[in-house]
Amino acid sequence: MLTKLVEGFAAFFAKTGVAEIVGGFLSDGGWKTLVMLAIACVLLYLAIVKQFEPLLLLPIAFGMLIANLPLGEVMHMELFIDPNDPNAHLNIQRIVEEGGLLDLLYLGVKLGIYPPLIFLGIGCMTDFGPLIANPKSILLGAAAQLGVFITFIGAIVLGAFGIGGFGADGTMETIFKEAASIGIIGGADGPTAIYVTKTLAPGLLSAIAIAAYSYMALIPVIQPPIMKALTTKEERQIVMEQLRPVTKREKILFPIIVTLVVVLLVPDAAPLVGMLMLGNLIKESGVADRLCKTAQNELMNIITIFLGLTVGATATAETFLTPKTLLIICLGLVAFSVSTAGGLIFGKIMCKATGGKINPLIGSAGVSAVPMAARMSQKVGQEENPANFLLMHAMGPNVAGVIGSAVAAGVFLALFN
Amino acid sequence: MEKDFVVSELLGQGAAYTVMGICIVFLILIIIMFVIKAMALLSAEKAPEPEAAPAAPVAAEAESAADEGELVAVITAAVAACMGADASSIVVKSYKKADSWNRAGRREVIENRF
Repeated sequence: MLTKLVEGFAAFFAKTGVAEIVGGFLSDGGWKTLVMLAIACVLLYLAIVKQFEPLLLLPIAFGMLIANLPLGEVMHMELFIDPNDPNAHLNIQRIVEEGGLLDLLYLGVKLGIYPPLIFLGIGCMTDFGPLIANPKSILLGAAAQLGVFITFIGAIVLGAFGIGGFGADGTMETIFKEAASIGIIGGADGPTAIYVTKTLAPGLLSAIAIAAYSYMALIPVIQPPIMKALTTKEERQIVMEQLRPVTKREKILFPIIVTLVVVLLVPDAAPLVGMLMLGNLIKESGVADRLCKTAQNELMNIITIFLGLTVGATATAETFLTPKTLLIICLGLVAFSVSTAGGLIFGKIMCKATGGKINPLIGSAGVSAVPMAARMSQKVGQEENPANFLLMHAMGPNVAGVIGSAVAAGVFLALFN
Repeated sequence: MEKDFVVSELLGQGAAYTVMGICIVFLILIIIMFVIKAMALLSAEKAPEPEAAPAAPVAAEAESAADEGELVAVITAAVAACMGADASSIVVKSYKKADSWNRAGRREVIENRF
């Protein structure tokens, strides 16, 4: 009787994840699982205690935790990426039959459904008024995409000399695709980065998403030193003219016209820009209040949970514990910093060109992290001149940055997909 | 790792894509900028006529007189409470709106909302 009980317990124990870790600890990378669990816990700490973008980092970190527990069978990356043939088509039938909970939810990322739906909600929350009132500020949103492209070429240079294992299959195409996915971190736009990466370099998805969202949370640390280094005290004190009021008709026409222009010229940006502008039209038209509320609250929250959880779950030891991840984290910082600098430098040019009417500080808001980047412009400006209110002026470049990074994403997708 | 490319070719093409990408982003946003400007010209709505303008000042004046009495009372009470003195010993001779309160209020709203 006792032996039966012991045997029963032993058999049960042999089927647990603990046994899997202990048994495989020395031989086949059990330590890697432990490292992944530790990283997940650190991210949970950052999300909960430090409140780094908790709405996304918390599900991402938990997804990472749950997917890395052995035998949990909630996520099977091998269903999505065939190591022998990275270009193989998705076998939806197989995913539906064999997939776990997260595999099915991950389809929304893989098929490019979640990021545009998040953009729908963002559109419902965005006021393009400051941009319409000061159309020039859209140029700052373009200049702040500089980091995207500088990092893109930077990653290509690393790939060319075989540093960091970019383009592991040795083709130019893979290097371009991975470099584009890393560069897009500089757009400071999580959904856009995820949308590009899931298409061009799915293996890097978790690292890029984590880098993008962490740096967005770190904007108050990263941006001010660059802003102060690149502008003079006099420039930071510039007070800008009050923005003109924008008519309702303009606000309604804006999303329609932007959709026409962008989608006709960069069709690959259609899902992102189209949904963003639909959301904005719903808001500005004022006739579909219920849809607006749902899109910016319930729908967006549901999608955020699915997106965070599944993106985190793609972080398996094989794909995440590589030198590439470290390099992506470093390049992401470069991308953010160069984007900030690009906006500021263009801000200085516009300041000179307009005879000192534009405060260059609003340039750094061209990175699309709304509204943190604009808030930084406001804060740094107010430190120099307490009576200066740059927030609304900075919202122009800020919302332009969202359009800018979506266009940059469209360009990459058009070139490399 | 086997390389399937020539380094100079990779870098050359990468640089070309980089320049092209920056140019396309700028080009498209510049187009949008001009479209917004055109739209502003075309859709400028007429400013609403200032209706019932003559009636307004009278009402406002009467209101402000009433407001003033109340305001003085409030200021008196606040000062008395702060100083711990009796309200009857304080006479408000004049008061001026201080801009710093507005500023502090505005800053607080911004800090809280964003």
